[in-house]
Amino acid sequence: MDEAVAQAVESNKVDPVHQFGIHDIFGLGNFGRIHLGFTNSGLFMVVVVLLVIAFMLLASSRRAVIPGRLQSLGEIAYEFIANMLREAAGPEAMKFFPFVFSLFMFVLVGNLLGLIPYFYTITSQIIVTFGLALSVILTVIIYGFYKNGAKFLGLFVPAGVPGYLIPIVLPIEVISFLSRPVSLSVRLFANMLAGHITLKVFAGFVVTLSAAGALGTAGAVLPFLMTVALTALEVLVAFLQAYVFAILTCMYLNDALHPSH
Amino acid sequence: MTAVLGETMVPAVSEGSLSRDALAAPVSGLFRDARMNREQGQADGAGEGARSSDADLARRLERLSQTLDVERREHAEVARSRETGSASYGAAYRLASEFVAGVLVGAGLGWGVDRLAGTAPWGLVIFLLLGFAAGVVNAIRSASNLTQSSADADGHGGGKPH
Repeated sequence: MDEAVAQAVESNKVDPVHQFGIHDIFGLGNFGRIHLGFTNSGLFMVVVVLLVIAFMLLASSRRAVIPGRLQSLGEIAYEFIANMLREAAGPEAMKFFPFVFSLFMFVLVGNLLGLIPYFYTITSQIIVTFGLALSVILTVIIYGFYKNGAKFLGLFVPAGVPGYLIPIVLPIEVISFLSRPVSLSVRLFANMLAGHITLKVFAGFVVTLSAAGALGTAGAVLPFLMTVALTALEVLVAFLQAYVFAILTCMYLNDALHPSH
Repeated sequence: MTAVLGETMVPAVSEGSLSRDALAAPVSGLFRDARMNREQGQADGAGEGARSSDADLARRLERLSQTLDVERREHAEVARSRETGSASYGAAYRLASEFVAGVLVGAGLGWGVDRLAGTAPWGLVIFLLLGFAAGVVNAIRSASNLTQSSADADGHGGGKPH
C-alpha cells in the first residue's frame, strides 16, 4: 500500500463534507466584527455568471435563420423558460422573463459546474439558495402590492371561506406563504448537499476497498458502478432542481399578477 | 380559434418536403422578436397593429404565431409524456419539502414569539400546530397543481388559467 493511497483513504474516511468548506482566496480585511474576503464560493459564482454570459453572447452572435448548434441551444433555453412563464403566469408575466431566465441559468450552471471534480457547488450552501428564494419572494410581495394594492392581501383569504373560519385560516395561509422561500431554498440546497455527500461516500468506498488487497479491489467494482450511476442521477437532479426552482418562481409570480385565483 | 387554424396551417407548414422540426426552428428564430414585441404590447394594454402600413404584416404574424402555438403545444405534450419518470421524482421532492417547510416556519415563528413575549411553551405549541396545518395545505395545494397540469397534458392541452 503506497503513501498516496493511504493519504487518500485517510482524507476520504474523515470528511465527506470537506468539499463544502469555504476559504478565502484573498482577504479584504475585517470591518468591525465582519470578515470580508473573496472566497472559493464567490469565485465560482463569478465563473457561473461569466459562463452564462459567454454562452448567451456566443449563442446570439450569429443570428442565423437556420440556427447552428450553439444558437439552437440558446433558442431552446429561451423557449423553455418563455413557455413555462407564459403557461404558469400568462403572457403579461413576460416582463419578468429576464429575472426568471437569469435565476434558471444561474442555478442550472451552478448545479452542473459542481458536478466536476474539485469544483465548488455554490447551490450547496443554504445562504446562497435562500438569497435567491428571498429575491423571488420580495419581488412577488413588492410587485403584488404595487400592482394590486390592498387586494394583494386577498391572497391570504381563499375565496369561499365563511367569515367565522377566517381567524383560523388566516394564520395558516400566512405561515403557508412564509414557508415558500424556505421550501424553495431548502429543496435546492438539500438536494445538492445530499447528492454530493452520497457521491463522495461511495467514491470513498472504492478507495478504501481497493486499499485492502486483491479481494477488496474486486469488491470495489460495486461501489464504483454505484458512483457512475449516481453521477448520472446527479446530472438529472441538477436539471430537475433548476427546473423546479424556475417553475415555482413562475407560479409565485402568478400570485403577484393575479392574487384572486 | 380552430376555424382560423384550418386556413393558417396551409401557408406555414405545406412548404414542400421540409420536415416539421426543420421548419419550426428557423421560423421561430425569425419571428421571435416580432412575437415578443406583440406580447409586450398586449401586456401594456396598447392596441396592436396601430399603423395601417403594418396591418398586413401584423395579420400575417398573428396567423403565424397561432400555427406556432399549435406546434408548441404538440411539442410540449410529447416532451411531457417523455419525462414522466423524472417528473415524478421531482414531484416527490416537492411535496415533501413543502410539508417540511410549513412545519419549520411554524416552529420558528413560535420560538420567536416565545422569546419576544416570554410565553415559554405556548407560542411554540400553537405555532407548531398552525405550521403543521400550513404544511398540509402546502402539500395538498401543490399536489392538486401537479394533477391539474398532468390532466392538461393528457387532454386537449389548451386552457391557460386566467
